[in-house]
Formats: sequence, structure tokens, C-alpha cells
Amino acid sequence: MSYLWSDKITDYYYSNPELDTVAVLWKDEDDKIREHYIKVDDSDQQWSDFIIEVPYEQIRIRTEARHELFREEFREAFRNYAKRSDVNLDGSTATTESINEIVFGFMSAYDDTDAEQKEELFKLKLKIFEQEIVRNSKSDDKFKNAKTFIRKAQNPMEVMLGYMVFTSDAKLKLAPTKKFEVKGVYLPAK
Amino acid sequence: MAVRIPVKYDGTNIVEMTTGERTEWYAYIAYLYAQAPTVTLTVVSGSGTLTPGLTDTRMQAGAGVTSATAFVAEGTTAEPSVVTGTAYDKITGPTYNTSGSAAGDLGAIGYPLYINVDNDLQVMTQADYVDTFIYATLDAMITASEDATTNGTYTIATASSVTNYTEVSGAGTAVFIDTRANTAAYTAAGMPETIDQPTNITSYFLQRQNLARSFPSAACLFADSGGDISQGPLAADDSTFNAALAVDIKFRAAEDTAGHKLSYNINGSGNTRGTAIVDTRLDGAGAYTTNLVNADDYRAQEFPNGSAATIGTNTLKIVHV
Repeated sequence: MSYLWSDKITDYYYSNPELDTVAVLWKDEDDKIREHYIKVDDSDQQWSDFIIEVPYEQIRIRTEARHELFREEFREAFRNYAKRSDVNLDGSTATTESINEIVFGFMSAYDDTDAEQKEELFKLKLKIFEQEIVRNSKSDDKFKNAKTFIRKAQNPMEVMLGYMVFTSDAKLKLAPTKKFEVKGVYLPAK
Repeated sequence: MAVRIPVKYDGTNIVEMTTGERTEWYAYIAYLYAQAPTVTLTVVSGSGTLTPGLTDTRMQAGAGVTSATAFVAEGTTAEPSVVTGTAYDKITGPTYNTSGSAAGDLGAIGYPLYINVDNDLQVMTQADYVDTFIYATLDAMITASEDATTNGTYTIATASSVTNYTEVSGAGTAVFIDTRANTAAYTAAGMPETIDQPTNITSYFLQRQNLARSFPSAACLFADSGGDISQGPLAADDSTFNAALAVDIKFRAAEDTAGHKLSYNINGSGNTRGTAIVDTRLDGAGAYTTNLVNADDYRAQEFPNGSAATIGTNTLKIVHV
């Protein structure tokens, strides 16, 4: 196995909310940090070789750490904003939605044009992937397809349907095409 | 016809070559191919034939607004929007050099020896030789992992200069440049800022591997007309057998009709070569920024913000056809 990044990796993380691309940072001979991107594709040799070197769990941890860094930058920016004299933060105009309303709104009326909701969807996927039942699932096609389905999920409902393959014996019905496409999800009554 | 395991003389006995020794042969044959590849990709200024072409996108600021009485509220200022930048279709190919032809049959004793099922030494047939040396090398040449056995094939890198590779355009022409909004260029004092202020993030270059020659450490054994066994030359690439290797690898790479012809595509089947080419954008909802210039001049504008997110991922693939 030999890639430009082999033995030279300095960092790695999912580079989008869909979790379908991983950015790999590696150091070249001049000590310059280079970017390299790998498509998440279980049938691709480069991806298979990469996750031998860097397991899924490590990618998730680094991605979370990177997001936390950005969140901290955001918090700092917000703190600076709040210190401004013209900002009213007395809460008088804040809405008091219940958790139920927030969750229901997120699940049933997900807005894929809203950056904040996209970020939440991304975090939900990461949360699913860190669950023991997912991390320790067998490597057969059923679970591999479910992971791909979750990665490609366009909304929180799809993420949870994919999660039910692990928790509730749900089954994905795949389209008979070469390209990965889920036609439906079978949920057992019990 | 079948893949055979060539034999060698280990100083004491005639034994089968190891997997590593056979891989050295594949690397040597790939080197012969790399001297004049017959399946080529080129970098052109536009209208390249390797589709789909790639389009760079980025975020741009919303238009700045000025009021004489108060800052225009965040809900009213224009949101940052997506700007579609340059379309890149700079790769043409694969182009096949079909002027070659297969090397002639080297005859009953022209090919290396192997040990047959009866444990006897036997000369490979021409078909055995093609399977054992040429097709095995072509199989190794389409792997995603790049080493000496992939010599002469193409990859994508984010540097214009890479050791053991030749940048195909010869002029450092990127086949794709990913741009993003340059957040440092947007300032409150500069409002109303020019809405589209990009910066180059990553340039992608088409590279062809050009590793130097290394000879196999194990020589093939041949039968001679007197019924004796002779050891083939290790470093004599002008021998009849080595000349056939050079001719056949180039011919089969470009013209094979049994599923070993080399091909390249974008986002199709095959193994990914080098880095995926990604289009990234900032994913924030916009940084609402205000500037009180004077009592009659309130300015507001929303700048691109957030962290970089990959919007599109494209991969160069190598495959047999």
C-alpha cells in the first residue's frame, strides 16, 4: 500500500455533513501540509486502505474535536458581540419552545437550507456512529449498507430509519442498480 | 493459458519465484510501459473530453445597504449567496496510441520456465506469458495504491511538483482550483464591500508517475536449444524476451480486447487515483456586520462565514475496459 499520504498523515476529518468525504492532511518532503480528499466508499480500495490505517472511530473523534474548535471560535465571537453596548440580551424576545416542539420540528420539518439544522443533522449522524451498537456491528452487507444510508441521509428521519437497522431489525430495500440507492425501509411490527 | 509462476535459480536449486520477486517483474514491465505510455491523458485549456467537467462554487456577501436613520435589520439585509465560479474541463483522454502490434511468438523455447503439475520444468506458451507477465502487470497498474507497478499511469495531487511524478501540463496548470470567500477581505470599514471576494484554497494537478528503472532481483530461467537451462539476463533490457515485454505491455494497454485495456474516467467505475477533487464552500448563515460611518450613514452587510464544507467530490478513476 502506497499513497502520497502513507505514513505522513497529520490530521483527518469528515469534510461535509453528509459524511461522504474525508479530508486528510499530510506533510510533504518540504514539511508543507497538503490536503488530500478521499470519498467514503466501501468498495473503493483507497478508502479501504485508509480506514485500516485510521479507523472510523478515530475519524469521528477528530471531526468532533475540529467542530468543537469552530464552536469555541463561534462562542468567542458571540461573547464579543454580547459585550457590545447596543445588544439587548435580556431575553424578553426569546422564544421558549419546549424540547418536544424543538425535536418534533427538527424531525418533521427539517430545512436543508438552514445551516444550523444541517449542522445538527451532521452531529446526529456522528452521534449515531458513536453508538456501541453501530460501532460494534458486524461487517456484513446489511450493516454496511445501513451505515452508507445514514451517511447519505438527507434528513433526521432517514438517519433514524437507518439507525433502526441496528436497533430494531429494520431492513433496507435496495434498488437493483449498481449505484447505492435505498427504495424503502422495512420496519418489523414488533 | 494460465498464470504461471516463473522459476529462478537460488544458488542451489531451481525454485519458484516469490510473490515479491514477481511484483518486481511487474514493476520492471510498468517501467518499460512508462517510457512511452500508449494510454494518455493531457491537460488542455478547455473543452477537455474527460467528463463530467468540474465547476467551482463559493459564497459571496449579500449586497451592502445604507440608511440615514438606523442600521437595516439582519432580517432585511441580503443573505450571502452561492456564486458559480469557473467551469473546469481541462483533461482530455484517454487517448490510445494504436499504432503498435503484439510481439511475435518467441517460439517453443522463447519464454520462461515454470514447474508444471507433474513437477517438471516446462516452457510457458505465448498465452501463458501474456497472462503471467503482461496481464498481471496491467492488473497491478490499475490499483488505487501507487507504487512501482503503477508507473506510467496518472493521478491527481494537490501539489504541482511531486517526487517521481511529472506534472502533465508541464506548466503548472491546475485541472481544478477550489476557491472560497476570503473572509479576511470583508471588513466593516470597507462596507459596502465587493460582494464576491474569492481566494484560492486548493489547486489540483494531473500527474503521471515516472519512477526510475529498477531491475528484478530474480532472473527468469529459459530452456536452450540443446536442452539445457540458462538464466535470463537481469539487466539486459535489449534481450529478445525483454523487448517482447516492452512491445506487449504497450500494445495490450491500448489495444487489448480481453478486458485489460487501460482507461480513465471521472466518478465512474474503477479505483480512485490520488486525491478526490473537492469543491468547498463556507457553510455559515452569514455574518451580519454594521458600521456607523456618521450620524446620517448607517451601513450593514452580511458577509460569508462559517467553516469549510465539501459540496462536491469528484474522483479520477482508473479501470480496465
